[in-house]
Amino acid sequence: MLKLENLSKKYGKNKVIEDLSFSVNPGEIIGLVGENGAGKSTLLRILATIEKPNRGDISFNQFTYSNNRKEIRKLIGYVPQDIAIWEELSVKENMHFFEKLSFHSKTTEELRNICLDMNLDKWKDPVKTLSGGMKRKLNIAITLIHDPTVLLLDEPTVGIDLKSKKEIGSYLWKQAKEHQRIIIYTSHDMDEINELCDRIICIGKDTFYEDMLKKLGKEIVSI
Amino acid sequence: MINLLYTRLLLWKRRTLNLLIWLLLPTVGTFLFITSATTLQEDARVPIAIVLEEESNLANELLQELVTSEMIHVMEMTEEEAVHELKQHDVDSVFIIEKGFENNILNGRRNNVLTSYRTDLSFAYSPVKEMIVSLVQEKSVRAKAALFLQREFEGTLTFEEIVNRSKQIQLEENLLNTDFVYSNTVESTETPSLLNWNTWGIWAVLSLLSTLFLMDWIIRERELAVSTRFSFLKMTRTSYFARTLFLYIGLFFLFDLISIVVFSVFLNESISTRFILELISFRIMVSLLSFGIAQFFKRLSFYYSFSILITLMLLILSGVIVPIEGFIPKQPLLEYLNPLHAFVSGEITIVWLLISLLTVMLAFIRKEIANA
Repeated sequence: MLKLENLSKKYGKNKVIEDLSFSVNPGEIIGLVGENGAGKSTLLRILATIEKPNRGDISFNQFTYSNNRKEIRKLIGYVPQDIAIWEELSVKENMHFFEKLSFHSKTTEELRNICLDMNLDKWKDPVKTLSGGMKRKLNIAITLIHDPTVLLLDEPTVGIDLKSKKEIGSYLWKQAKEHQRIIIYTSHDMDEINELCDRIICIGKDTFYEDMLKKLGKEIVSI
Repeated sequence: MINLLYTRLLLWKRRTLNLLIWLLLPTVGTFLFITSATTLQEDARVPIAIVLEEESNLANELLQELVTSEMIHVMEMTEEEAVHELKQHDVDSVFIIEKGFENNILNGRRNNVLTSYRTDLSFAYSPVKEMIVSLVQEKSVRAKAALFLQREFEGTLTFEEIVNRSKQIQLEENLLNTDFVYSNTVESTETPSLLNWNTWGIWAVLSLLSTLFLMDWIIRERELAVSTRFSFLKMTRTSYFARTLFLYIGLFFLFDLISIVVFSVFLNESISTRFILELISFRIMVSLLSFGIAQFFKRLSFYYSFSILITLMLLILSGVIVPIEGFIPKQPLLEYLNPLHAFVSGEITIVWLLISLLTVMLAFIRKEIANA
């Protein structure tokens, strides 16, 4: 279980996250919504150990974030909002590049299967020739090489077509339900959030997202 | 390290041409510069025609001395041909070693031993004439002295023996040139030349430029979104960068070995074990220094501009192409500030190697603390 207690983060005098507490069980998909600048990406970066909170504790199973950063990182897969892949390499080369530096080794077949599971079949094509949707899929596929238990995705479907969105959504659902992974992700697409997430956390003071989700009849947690 | 090499090879494969151009620049650039400059130096010699009217020893000796001069290009021909060439302005001037040259010199007669032709366009006539006259005068005086000594010693020494001994003394004592050296420095044994190109000095400057340009991967890869993934890989970004730096040093050294082979085969540069040590220390220093410099830049355009600027500055300060001794007084401080100075002067680079090492270590420690 991933557990956050009284988490606070501020940049200078600007409080981005204040007294945030929630917990997530294995197999759960959590959606983070809120206006731009509300602190969604900051929260993901804190959960990914890239940033430190000013106050509060986070723990995952037996590990606390403050004392077990290295161990925690082995269990986390973080998909940044920017597409973090080598544009000049092919899909295959990208997968091999990160596999060689990964905590877990995988065969070429296993790497290819990760891509095929996401309907990413352009194995030998250079990344620069791929569509935005394909690049987003590869962005996620690379994150899965080391079999992370917690998957943190920062707007993984931004700017892509509906078909690719659906494919990514269905893949994430499968990862959570079949492999009992914890998935936390941010998005501005309310339909996608509503369809995919078990719980939704609204971050920020603006009630727009909260009201919208109430209309959709979704269980929400406001922070 | 094998895994790291694999990942680096994937990236190098996509930039093979670019990589090869920069890696070969020091070798090819230096080779082309040295060969072109030597050819240019040869072509810049003043062409003169020499007409030999007699085939005596002294006349041939004078001809050989002129042929070996670095400032003139001597062509032997008949008087008719020489005058024709002069009219065509293919030669600057014509000098005729007159019949009876040897006899006149040996008998102390210095009139009518040479005749010359020139035109209004013979710009180098005066200095060339002075040079030839001085050589004739040298022979004449030597002959006069020999004849005097022969008379004094009443024939116990032959004329040839005296002349040969005189030439030997001239060579041994270096009577015409006097070098002044400081008491604690080594006297130069190099043959004086119009321009002595420092092959490895030029190579060092080009190597600095190519190393700086090839180290742009630090800025490019650091600014990429890909770098955020290193938090979730088995080596940190700092560790990845440090190990990649070692791979680059290895790659650079491989191409340095190619330079050694090319320069020793085609430019007759001598290689010793000590030189290999000098090269290794230089290579490590220049790679670490470039790595350290790249840490300070975020924008590639600024980094490239700085690289060109620093290379040009060190090119001038090192004096490998344009000698600076005449313009800037010898300053020990300037030598210390020049990272290329030790290598260009044939020494093992120590001070700058330590400075570079310290800079890189500090940069790594700072990054590790920030990423912890």
